[in-house]
Amino acid sequence: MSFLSPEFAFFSLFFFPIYWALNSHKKLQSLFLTSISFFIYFCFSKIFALVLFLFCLYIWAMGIWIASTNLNRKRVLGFAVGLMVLILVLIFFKYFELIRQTSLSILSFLGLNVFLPALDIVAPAGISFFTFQAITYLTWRYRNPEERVSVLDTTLYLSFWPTLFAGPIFRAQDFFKQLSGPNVGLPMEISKAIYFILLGLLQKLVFANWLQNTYVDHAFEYPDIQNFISVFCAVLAYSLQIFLDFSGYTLIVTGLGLLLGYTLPINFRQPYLAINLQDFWRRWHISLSTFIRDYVYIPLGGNRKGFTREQMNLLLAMVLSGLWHGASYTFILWGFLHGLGAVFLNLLHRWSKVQVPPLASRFFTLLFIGFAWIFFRSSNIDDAWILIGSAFHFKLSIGWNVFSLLLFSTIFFALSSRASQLQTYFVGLIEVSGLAVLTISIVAIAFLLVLLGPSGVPNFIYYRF
Amino acid sequence: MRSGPKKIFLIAVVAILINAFFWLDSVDAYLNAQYHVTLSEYLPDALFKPSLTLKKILPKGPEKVTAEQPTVAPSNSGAPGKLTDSPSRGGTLQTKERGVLDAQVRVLFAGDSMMQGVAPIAISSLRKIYPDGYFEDLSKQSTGLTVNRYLDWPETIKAQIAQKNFNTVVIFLGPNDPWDIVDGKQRYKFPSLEWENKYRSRVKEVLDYASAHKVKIIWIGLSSMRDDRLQKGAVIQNKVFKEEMNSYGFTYISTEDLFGGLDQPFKNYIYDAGGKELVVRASDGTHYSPQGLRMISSKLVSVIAGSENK
Repeated sequence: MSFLSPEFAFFSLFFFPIYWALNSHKKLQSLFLTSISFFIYFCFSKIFALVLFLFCLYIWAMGIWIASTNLNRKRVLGFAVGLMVLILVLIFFKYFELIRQTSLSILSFLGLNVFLPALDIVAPAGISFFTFQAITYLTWRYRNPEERVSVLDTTLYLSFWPTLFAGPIFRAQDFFKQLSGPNVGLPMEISKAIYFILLGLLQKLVFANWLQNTYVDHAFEYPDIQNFISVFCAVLAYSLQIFLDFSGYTLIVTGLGLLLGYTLPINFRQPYLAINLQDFWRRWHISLSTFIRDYVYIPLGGNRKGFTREQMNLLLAMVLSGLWHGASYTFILWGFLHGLGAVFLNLLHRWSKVQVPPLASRFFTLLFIGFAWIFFRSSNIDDAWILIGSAFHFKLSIGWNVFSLLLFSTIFFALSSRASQLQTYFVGLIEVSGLAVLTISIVAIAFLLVLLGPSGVPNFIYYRF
Repeated sequence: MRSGPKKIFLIAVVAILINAFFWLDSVDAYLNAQYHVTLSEYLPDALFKPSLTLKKILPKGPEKVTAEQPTVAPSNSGAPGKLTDSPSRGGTLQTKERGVLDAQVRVLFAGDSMMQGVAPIAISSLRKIYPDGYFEDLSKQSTGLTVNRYLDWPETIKAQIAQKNFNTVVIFLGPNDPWDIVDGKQRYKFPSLEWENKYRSRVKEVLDYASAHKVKIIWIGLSSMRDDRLQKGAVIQNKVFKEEMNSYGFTYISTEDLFGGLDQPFKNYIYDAGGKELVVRASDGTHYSPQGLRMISSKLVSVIAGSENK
């Protein structure tokens, strides 16, 4: 059941009132929310709802093990076992075929004819997200053994439906802090929630869909027949599409989270206004980039073990970030490119005093990010190179669609720099609107969203990961 | 509930119900395609009137750009953003040697998500063989021959042939079809002989038109499916496709030859010439892996290019 579907709209009419009505019975409310999370997951896959349930039990049991002993060695062992199993499960479900094919190629290159069986594996939806959440849970239990967490609360945390399928990665310490706070269970910041949901729907249903259908899919499906202008448009449009799609998704679930009484972590801060790659990663998919920083980069040594080691750590963290998106060389290369870019900037910063003006810096950062998106979006690396090659076919035929995209981009960047003022303005407007005016406005906006949106229910890009 | 929840609930109820009313026909079409239920069977016709009126007067949302309708002109595909009305004759290849297509190669690709995977690869290969050819991919996911309210394939294909003078249509669809067919007040239960006959009539609708207009049809058969219902459907559908294609003298491409027969249990891999396992199916048990798509596409291209008929 997609958050964009009519089923979800009708379902929410029953779900939210019951959920809010249960607020005076916190345990029952948590049980209801957990059951609904499993129901939504069950709608995607029956068998994986069971897998998720067993997964929750396992994580809870490991948490008990880690927290119940005073012996440091046993706690470390419990933490290590818990983590190891999580990573192995993720690798098995998500990366088995990539590892198998890569191993076969390497072994065949070495002249070894080894049999590695293919397995019929389906990765559970959202596995990358709930595995990472589980890692934060085990870490939190390891660092805070005195905390008491029930099996119900652990299950609620790991199956929490607003973040279950595509994040943002909600860290255990943040979730449980909110769970024990007074606000959970009733809607909070309603005006902000309405603004987030409507803006998210507009971004996804109207803009991301238009960009995808008009500029992106055609170019990436037929990379060999493109030219400079069409490649430029496709890359620009995809850069905007993936942001509008993913941040639109995040806005919707953040709004829904507020209606449940939870504040989800911030995932985006106008990433295309970044002045360099480090800045971009502080603004793009923040819950993942901070996870990679705290759970990969810093444990590897971060910047504490000399300049060379820092660059190696950075490169490795970025490759892992790419690999997290999927078992494909396109994602690995995308992560590697970002890592390489970040290392290059560090070297430049170390050995050169060149100061690039902020506007130029933004432009070159955006150019690099766009270039890297080619690998992220392409079906395979060959197609990516074909598309890049097509960009050297110069044929200047600029039609209305090119102007539309440039106009849209200009408006997008102009509004991006004023996003927080716009949010304050619209949230304030919703706040002061009377019930009748607000209701009529929302009815009209919803009507326009359906009118301008695609036929059928579109998928979010990040549902794949 | 306190005033906050009451307020947001009231807004949500009004917004959702009013919009459901004004978009009732679209909601019905969606539920029909997704769950094979038809609201119009249970609700009075009068309720649908506002949504049907709106549908007539309001413009449609943006549709996906198809293979030969780029909004930003590609480098070697004829007129920018337009159909290639008069593709140059006598391309780099001699038509008679190229099999089922003549020099004015105009191929329409129709189907569901199965075709969405195959068409881009096939079209890229075909463009290399027929630089002056015209190829259009109209495939759309979640479509088929069972539910025709969302998209009526026979009508769409007929209209496309008439408008754009296609001389070949490649069709690949099926996994959305093993459900009851509702035609007016009549319901054809799946699986049954009545269902098969009704389904056959929809296939024949395309073939009759194509035959009358001297358009070649290439129909790609289904492979085994992990889901029981889809597997059961594939057996019946392939039988229909194969029989009808043979009786009309059109080309049927069997994917069973590539990936194993429907009498075999679902397997996501095959063995390559070296005896190694090659994953050819996607993890959903219905679609294909990139390798599988390349195999179907390559077979399709070879059929179109006529190498199998030499």
